[in-house]
Amino acid sequence: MRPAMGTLVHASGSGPDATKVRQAVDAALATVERIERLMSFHDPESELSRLNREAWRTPQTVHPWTWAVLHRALRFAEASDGLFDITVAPLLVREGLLPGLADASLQCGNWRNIVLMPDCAVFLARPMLLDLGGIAKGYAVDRAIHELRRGGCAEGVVNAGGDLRRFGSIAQPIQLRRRDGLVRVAELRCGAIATSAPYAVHAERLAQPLGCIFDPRTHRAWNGSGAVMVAAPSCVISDALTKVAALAGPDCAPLLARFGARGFWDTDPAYVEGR
Amino acid sequence: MSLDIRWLVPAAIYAAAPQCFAAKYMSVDQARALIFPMADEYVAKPVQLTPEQMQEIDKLSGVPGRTARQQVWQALSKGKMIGWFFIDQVIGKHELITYALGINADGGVRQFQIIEYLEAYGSQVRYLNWRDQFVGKTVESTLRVDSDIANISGATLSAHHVTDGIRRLLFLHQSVLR
Repeated sequence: MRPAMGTLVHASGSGPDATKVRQAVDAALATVERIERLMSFHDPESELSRLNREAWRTPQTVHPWTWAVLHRALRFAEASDGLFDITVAPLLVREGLLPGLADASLQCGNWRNIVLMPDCAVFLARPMLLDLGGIAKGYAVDRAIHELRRGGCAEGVVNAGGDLRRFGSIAQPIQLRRRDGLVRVAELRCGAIATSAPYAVHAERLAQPLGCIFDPRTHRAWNGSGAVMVAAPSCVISDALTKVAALAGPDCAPLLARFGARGFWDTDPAYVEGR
Repeated sequence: MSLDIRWLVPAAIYAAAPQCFAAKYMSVDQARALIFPMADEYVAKPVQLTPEQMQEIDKLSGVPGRTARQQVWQALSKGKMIGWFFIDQVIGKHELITYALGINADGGVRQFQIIEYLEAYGSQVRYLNWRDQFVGKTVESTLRVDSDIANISGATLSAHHVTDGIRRLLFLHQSVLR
């Protein structure tokens, strides 16, 4: 277990060869850290920060992984008609959830202004801020799972603060945290699951506010009536589509199905009472 | 890439029949009756610590306090004070554990009871043989896990935090209630 991406990342595996398993787990965690260095909004040295500074002036060449995440982000943006949008960062900066100057002139961009070019080059058609907070964690979990498989693990789990993916033959219980405790909602044998909640269930116990989901249509924070979970074949899908599922509600089930994903909309009375 | 998931209950049914790992083992009254069976009266004596008292207790016990306010009752039997009854909360792993502690008039631990436990793991701290280790402990005792209190495999954090909480209450009792 290691701290990364603003959470604790946990990777574990099992297989016939203990040494190989240990190496695979180390490689998995190293991959997560590498992706964080590439795609962190908080780190001014990251590739993402370089994109935000420079890519509207001249096209920037990025690591194939960063390009792959942007490519997927645009696919989800197009499929959801902009409900998933990695250009809402100025809203999060304004709320103090991301670092940066809360500059009134800083407007939200639009995913259509992101231009992906051959050979991993990225161009922004206008100055704007990209934030991969809604998708990079899922991608990192997928890459880490890949390392576990490649390292010879027969069973493997990677959990980055609730973005979870596993493979193997054991069914793992999936629990949802509610105000009054944990609820077992599913058993996952193979695949990924991600959760979004309208606000921290125990906000008073957290040292700093958690990130939240902003609606690109209204520029307001999502304020739903319960938690949302999305299960999918890969974690990049569940991570990104949980935001869409949160904003669109159960109506988006056909959209989820297009990506092989399934949603679970919790209607916990405690959320309603707690408000 | 594949997805193999089994949803246990559809969302609609969940709303009607919520089920969770929260376990409330007893009420405050039941905890009182278990800890001080002979008491016939309880007088509320809530403690409001000053910042200096907070600091002193933090230092003596080595455990930072969560709040300045502590729920305390004096237990009486036929008008005679026989001990102090505390309701306190500590963090287990993520969630709060609510427990009741009885301290005898002489300052030794009488017993404690877990009232509410919200986590799926670690509730072994309510087993009698683990709780019995605390009986008679005072501020003079070490009262630390892996020393005079046995650790519990699978409940390490809960065991540590409950032990810390009780040590802190003993010092609070010594500083403020004696």
